[in-house]
Amino acid sequence: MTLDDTIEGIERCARRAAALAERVRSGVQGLHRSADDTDWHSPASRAMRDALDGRTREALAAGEYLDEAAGLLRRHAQRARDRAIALEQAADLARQVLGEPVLSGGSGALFGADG
Amino acid sequence: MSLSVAGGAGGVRANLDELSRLATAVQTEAESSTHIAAAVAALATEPDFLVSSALDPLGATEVVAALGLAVERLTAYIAGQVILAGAVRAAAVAYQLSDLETSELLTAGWHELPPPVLAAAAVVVAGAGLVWVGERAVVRAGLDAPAAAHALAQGRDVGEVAAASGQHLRDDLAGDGAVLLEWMVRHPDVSREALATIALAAGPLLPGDPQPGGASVGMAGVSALLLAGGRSVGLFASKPVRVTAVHTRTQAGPTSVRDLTARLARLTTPRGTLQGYQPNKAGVLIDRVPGAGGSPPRWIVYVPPTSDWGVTGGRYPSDLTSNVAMVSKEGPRTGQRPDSVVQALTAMRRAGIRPGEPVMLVGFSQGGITAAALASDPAVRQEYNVEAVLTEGAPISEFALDDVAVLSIENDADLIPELDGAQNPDQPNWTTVNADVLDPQSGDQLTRQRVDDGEPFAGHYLDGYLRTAEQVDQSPHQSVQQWRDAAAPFLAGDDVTTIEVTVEREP
Repeated sequence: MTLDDTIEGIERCARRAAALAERVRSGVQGLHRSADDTDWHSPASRAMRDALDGRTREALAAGEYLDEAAGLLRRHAQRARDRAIALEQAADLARQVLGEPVLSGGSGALFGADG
Repeated sequence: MSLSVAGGAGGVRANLDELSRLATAVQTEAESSTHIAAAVAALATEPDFLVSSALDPLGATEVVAALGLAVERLTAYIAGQVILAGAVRAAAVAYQLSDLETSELLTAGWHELPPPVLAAAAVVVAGAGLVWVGERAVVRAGLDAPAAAHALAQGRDVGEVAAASGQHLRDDLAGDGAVLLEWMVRHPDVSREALATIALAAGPLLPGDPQPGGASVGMAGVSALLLAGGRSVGLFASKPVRVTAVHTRTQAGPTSVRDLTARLARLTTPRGTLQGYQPNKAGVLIDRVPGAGGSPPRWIVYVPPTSDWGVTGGRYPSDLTSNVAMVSKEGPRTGQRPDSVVQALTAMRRAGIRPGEPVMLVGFSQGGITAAALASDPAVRQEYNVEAVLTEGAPISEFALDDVAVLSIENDADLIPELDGAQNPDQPNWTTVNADVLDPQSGDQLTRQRVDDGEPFAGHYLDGYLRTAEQVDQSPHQSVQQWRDAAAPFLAGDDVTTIEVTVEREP
């Protein structure tokens, strides 16, 4: 597994989170269309409709959290990349100064030779 | 089949095919959302994400938190949708039954109800159970994520790690029903929603006009149905009551919400109403507070909580029979007051409260319901000058409490106030204090410990409300202060005469 593979994997997660948010919103819209198409007029049905509206607010909030998660995943990918590169540079520097490897971990150990 | 129905619940026209389609759409949406929730939870255990967490642990934590909140909201949404689907189907069935006389339906025992109605109810209950299992899976995934990350980092096979987590989930589900109760305690909003929707499903079965947002009407209706059904087979019988003992003593009067709550401890056990009946704790306590400057005395009436869970109308009026009668609004519906209300009024008259004298009503659990029933009873209000009401751990949102200062205290981990399926209305005269007793920082440590130790009703214990009352006394909130001002004349701290009146049903 290379660093690029891992970063691409995280960005894939971000795209999936955004897509799931869209699925949530799309489902809510579809359900409201079904409710709108129902010819059922009574105080009880209005109460049901109120209940439906209350619940869709939960779903829309879930969609917003998923959007937020997608953004956080993208930022996480960027930070992970930056820190892996910084670790690698630090290891290179140490090798140049000391003439021997001093870090047993870092991006090379985590992500393999290509990382 | 297409059937138009006129009349019935609120004068309706219903196309049953469309209702059925709507129920299917809601159910399908719930199933789809379940898959989405599973996919969201899976994101947190993606190997790439777990591996990269070491490089940006703070960012990874933020991601997991956002995903967790999304799952939490989706779970609440799914719970509501599954139950709503059952409710829509139940409503359709109810309309199909509209050729039945409503009175027949009301007086029928549950076993006489047509199978489709019972099946619809089963759908509701099963749906809630399925959602619970789904939630447990999500919770388990969250609990296992750190260990899974560690195992993967050590090179263990992903499949092996997943299998271990699955076994943990099976172990979780093998636990007893207390786990479900604990889940409900930790998710009071979802519990309230579930109860409200179940009530909504029963709404169309009942006589009268359902009202918009009528979940509360439905909950009263569910109890009315239960009451009528029970009475048809000899349960929930109401009987005349009589005073059997009176004890009087003088002591320092209460000066705070905490003091009022401490007085309630005379009427119940430290753990509230769920530890069984105790003979020396069945009565109505009444403080006679001397009037200032020759004015009439003021009275604080402490109404007892549930003393007995019997369904047959036993010796003491503060029992389940009265609970069901009060929640069903039997008094306003039929003119026949529930026995616990009669018990309180009998004690008030025996203590010597005269018409027009100022009264404060204080009640915990069923006592709070009784207090609300008294304060919303026009005849009682005409006889007595009810100025203030304090309820703790009581489901009273359905009562019309006007022109009286009401303070309702509800611990968030307490399921009992959720039983009415609604939150108390925001009214200028009605203040509701919700205490987040499970909060890791600001909550009540003892209650949290009890819930963690598997006591799902710990949030309802009176000793917890005593500690919450101390917090309320410290609150500078304007609404709490407003109630305090209204209650102040009752809380002057002078010596009061306390009268304990035991009232029992006649044999």
